[in-house]
Amino acid sequence: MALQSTGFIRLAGNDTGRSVAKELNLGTSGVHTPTISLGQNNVRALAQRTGSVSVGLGHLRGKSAGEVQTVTVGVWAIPNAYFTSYYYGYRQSPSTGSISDGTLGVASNRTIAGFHWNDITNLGLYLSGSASNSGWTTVTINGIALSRSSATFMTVSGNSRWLWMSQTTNPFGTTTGATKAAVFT
Amino acid sequence: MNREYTTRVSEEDVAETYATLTKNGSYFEIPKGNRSEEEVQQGIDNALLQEALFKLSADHYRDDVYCDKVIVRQDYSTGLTEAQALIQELQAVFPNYEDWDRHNHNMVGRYTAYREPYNNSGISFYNFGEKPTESLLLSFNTSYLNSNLIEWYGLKFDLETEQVMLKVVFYNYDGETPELPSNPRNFYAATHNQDGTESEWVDYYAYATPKLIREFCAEKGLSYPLPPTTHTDCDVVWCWGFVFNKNTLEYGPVKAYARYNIT
Repeated sequence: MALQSTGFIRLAGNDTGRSVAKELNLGTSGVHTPTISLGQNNVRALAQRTGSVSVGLGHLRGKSAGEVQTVTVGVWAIPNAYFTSYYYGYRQSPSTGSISDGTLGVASNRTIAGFHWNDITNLGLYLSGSASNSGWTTVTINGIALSRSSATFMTVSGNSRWLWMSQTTNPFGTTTGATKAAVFT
Repeated sequence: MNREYTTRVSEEDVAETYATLTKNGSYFEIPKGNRSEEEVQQGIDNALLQEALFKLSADHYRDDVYCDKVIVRQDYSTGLTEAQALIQELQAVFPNYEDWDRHNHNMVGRYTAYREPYNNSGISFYNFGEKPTESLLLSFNTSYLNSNLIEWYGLKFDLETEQVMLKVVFYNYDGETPELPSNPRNFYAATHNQDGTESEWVDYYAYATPKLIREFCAEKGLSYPLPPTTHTDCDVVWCWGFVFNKNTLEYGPVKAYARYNIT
């Protein structure tokens, strides 16, 4: 749910609608008291105040973290001949890494079939089934915000996907088994 | 050649616009916004190329290698019948030189003396997924920093002299090069002879859209490898080969690798 528009809100704590950390699902579940600051990327993304502009608690009122998908990172290689591409993130088949819960509510409840970055510098979000290019604005992965409107959208063989080309930073990192939150707003 | 598209304006934000097109049953939306027409066209080409890459078969394919507008070589993945005929020929002349059937995604093809350093016809064998071993490198009197090696190598079997050449593929070249098209997955290759000498011709591979390579060739006075009407749709060609003389920096012929899935 969204942070309250009136009354107090705070950075950490377990109170729904008042804790930024809980809204972003940061820290231990049921406690939500991580180290957190207004200037960190995911808080800025929630406040919709990314970049070098100022950000305060007031900017967070009424904001919703949207939908959180948690990726447990897997790593695999595809020998596309002439070069081998390395992938980091999740894919459904063959099963590598994992995702929770894997049903993307902002995209007509489609199953996420893949969500990964590769060293050809492409980041892809692959659905099982078709969706429209709408329903969400930004996905923030591990603090790196990517706008939907900057992605190439495709529907191939009835399956839709968003592709960010020339994404040089790997938001999933290279550590197998690490968990990374992807927040769709 | 500019591709035709229609513009879609988002109902949520009028500043959010897309170039949309449908091709071979697939639907594409490429961000338009305030991008120039050239950038939009490049975005369309990139999307089509990504789609071609996505659809690549893992181990059943053929490469048509174009040079100066003709096919100079056809390479087959080793699981295919055409490849097995070539492997039998190799085994007859170079018995057990390699584990020919190690993977179905290795490749084999017959080559001619269409460019230096190839003086006779022969058969190429490409072993993917593995770096050349130290002993293989030493047998060609060469060595490389292991971290600079890419996980494949080529062997060129000259059927007339029964000599072998080793093509070593690597990331970083520390010599001077002529200007070359750049992208995130460039790599180089050097060709070594059994007598310990090395060809003065260095290979450079780029992964790019046909439009970029056509423009590069025009700018440098190089012969674009494809006929004007071949593979303009970014649906097949995905790898381009350049050659340069490491001493004079003279360009050699440009190659295009057109890959087809074989079902």
